[in-house]
Amino acid sequence: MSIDKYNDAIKKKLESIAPKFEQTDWDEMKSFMALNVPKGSLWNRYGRFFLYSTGAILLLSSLFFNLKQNYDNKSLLKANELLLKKFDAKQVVKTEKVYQTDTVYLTKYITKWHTIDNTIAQSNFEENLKTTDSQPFITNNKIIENETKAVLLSPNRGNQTYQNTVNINKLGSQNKNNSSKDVENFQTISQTRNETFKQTFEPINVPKNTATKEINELVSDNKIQNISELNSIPFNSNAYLWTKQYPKINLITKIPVDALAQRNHITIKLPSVSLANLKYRVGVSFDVGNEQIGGSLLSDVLLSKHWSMNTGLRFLNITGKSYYTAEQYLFDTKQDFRKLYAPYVPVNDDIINLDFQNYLLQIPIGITYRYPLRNDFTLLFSATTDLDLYVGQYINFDYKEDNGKFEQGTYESKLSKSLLYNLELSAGLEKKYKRMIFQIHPYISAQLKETAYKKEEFMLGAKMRFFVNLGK
Amino acid sequence: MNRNLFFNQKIPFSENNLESIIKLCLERNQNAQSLLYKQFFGYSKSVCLRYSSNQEEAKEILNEGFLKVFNNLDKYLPELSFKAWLRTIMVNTALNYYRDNKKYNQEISFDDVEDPIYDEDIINKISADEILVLVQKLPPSYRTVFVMHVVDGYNHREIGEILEINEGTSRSNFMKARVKLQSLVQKEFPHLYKDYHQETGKHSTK
Repeated sequence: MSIDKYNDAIKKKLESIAPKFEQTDWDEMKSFMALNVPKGSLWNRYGRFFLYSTGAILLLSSLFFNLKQNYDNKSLLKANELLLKKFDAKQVVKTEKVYQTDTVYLTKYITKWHTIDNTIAQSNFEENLKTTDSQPFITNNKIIENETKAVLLSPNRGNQTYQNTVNINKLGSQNKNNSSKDVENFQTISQTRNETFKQTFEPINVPKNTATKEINELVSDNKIQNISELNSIPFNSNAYLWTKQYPKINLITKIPVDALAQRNHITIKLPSVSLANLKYRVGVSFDVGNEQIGGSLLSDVLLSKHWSMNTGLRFLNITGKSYYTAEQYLFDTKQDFRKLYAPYVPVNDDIINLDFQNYLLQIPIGITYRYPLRNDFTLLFSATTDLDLYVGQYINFDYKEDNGKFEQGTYESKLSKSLLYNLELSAGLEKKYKRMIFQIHPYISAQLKETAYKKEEFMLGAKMRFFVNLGK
Repeated sequence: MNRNLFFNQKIPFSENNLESIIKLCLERNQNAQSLLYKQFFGYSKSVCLRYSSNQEEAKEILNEGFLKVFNNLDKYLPELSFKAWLRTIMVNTALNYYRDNKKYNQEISFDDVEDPIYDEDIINKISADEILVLVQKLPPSYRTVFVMHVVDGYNHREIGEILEINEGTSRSNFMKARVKLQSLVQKEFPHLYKDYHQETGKHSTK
C-alpha cells in the first residue's frame, strides 16, 4: 500500500465517470448561449460607433471652425471696407471742390458829382476779381476792367473826378458759400463803405425786380456817382461776373488703387506652404501610457495658421507579460518556453520569473489642427501614427543551476516591424512663451492591427512636449 | 491564431471528423455545436463534477465552459489535442467558479481520523459514482486542491500560484482533504474496513 497507488486509484475512479448525454442538456446549453451572446472585442462592438462618432465630431468641429473663421473674415472685411470708405471720404473732402454758378446782377445808378477815391475802388476791384487761389477769376474780367477804367478815366469828363464804384466783394473767396452768404457779405462790406464815403447821391432808377431788389438796395447805399456815366459804359456781353465751370463728379465709392490691391490680397490669400513661409519648431516629447513609456525628438512644421505636421524619432518601451513559471507560460500561450527559445534557455532546469520587455524605435507622423485662443494658448487636435524602424524583445528569467541557486538569464530577439498599426487621437493645449512652446496632450490610441508586441486594442495616455521656435 | 487549416483546406463534413465539426462551429453552426457538445459532454462533465459540490454546480460550470469553447475556437491550435484544450478550459472555468464563490465557501472543521488507512483495494471496491459523491462532500478549498493535485497533476507550487495561496497552504489543504476523504470512506463503507482488518489480521497471524 502506498499513497501514490491510493491517489491513482481515486484518479482512475474519478476519470472513469462519464455522464450520459441527454437532449435536455443541449437545450439548457442553447438557452444559456442565448442569454450570453458573445460580446466580441471592444473594437468590434464599439469600433464603428467610435469611428463614426470621431468622424462626426471632426466634421462638426471643422464646420464650426470654418463658419467661425468665415464670420471673422467677413467682419474683418466689413471693418476693412468701412475703414476704406472713411479713408476715401477723407480723400474726397480734401480734393473735392464744390462749384456753383452764381449770377450777379449789376444795377446802374445815376450818381451825383462827388470826388471819390479811385485808388481804393480799383484795389478792391482787383481783389474781388480774384479767386481764393489768387488767380484771375475769369479772363473776361480783364476786359471789364479795361473798359471800366477807360470810361472812368475818359478825358470827356474833364476835371470831374467821377468814379463808378462797383463793389463786388470777395466773390472769389465766397464761392464756396451759397448765394445768400454772398449777399450778406456784400451787404456788410457795403455798409463799411458807407462809413468811408459820404452819402451824397440817391438812386434814381431802381429795378423792381424782386430778385435784384436786395442788391439794389444795398448798392444804392454806395457812393456811386454819375449814373449816367455808368449807363453809358458799353458792357461787354461776355463780361458777366459769374463763372461757369463744369461740375466735377467725384465718386465716393471710388477706391484708391492701393486699397483695391490690398483687398484683393486679403480675399485671394491662400495658406502659403512655401518653405520660406514655414515656421519650424524642434523639441522633445515625453509620453506615458498603459504599460508603456516613451520619449521623442520631434520637429513640428506649421503649414498654416491652423495646420501643422510633426515627425521625428521615438524610443518606446512596452512592458510585456510576466510569468511566474515556464509552466504558466505554457498554460497561457500553449507554447513551451524552453523549446521556443532553445538553445538559449536551459532545457531541464526550473525557469521562473519570466519577464518580457519590448523596445521600439519608431517614426511618429502626426497632423494637428490648431485653434488659437487668447493669451498665446492654442487648442490642438491631432492624429498620429507610428512607423516601426526597429523592434526588439528582451526576455529576463531566472533558472536554477545544479547548486540549487537561481541565476539570471536573458534572451534578446528581433520582432517583426509594423507600419501604420495604430491611430492615436489626441486633444491638447499649447502655451507659447516667447520662442518656447509647451504642449500637453491626453490621447487615446487604437490598435488597427495586431502586432507581436502589443495586444491591447485601446490605450490611454498623455504626452508632454516642449518645442523651440525656429525660423520666423 | 491559426485559421489556415480551416480556411485553406476543404474538409468534408462528417460527424466522426472533429476538424470538420470544429470548422462548422467556427461558422456558428448550431448543429455542429450540438455535435461537439454531445461528443465531449461526458468527458467535460466529469471534469466539472469533481470540482463541484453537486450536479447543479457542475452543469453551471459545464455550460460556461462550453460557451468559452465556442467563443474561443479560433484560438485553438489544431496540432494540439482538442481534448486537452477542452479539459484546460473546463478546469479553468471550474477554478474561476471556485474563486468567484470563495467567500461563500465555509471551512468545515472535522475530527481527524486517528489512524487513516490508505488502501487502494478499498477504493477499488467502491464505485466511481460513490467516490465522486465522497469527493463532492469535501469542503471546496480541500476538494479543489485535492482534485488539482491527484487528478490533474498540478504540483503544490502551481496550485499556490493559481489559487493565490501559499504552497504550504496547498500542501496542508491537500493533506486535510485526503484525511477527510478517508474518514468519509470509513464512515460510508465501514464493512470494507472490517474486511480489511480481518484480512490484515489473517496476514499478521500467519
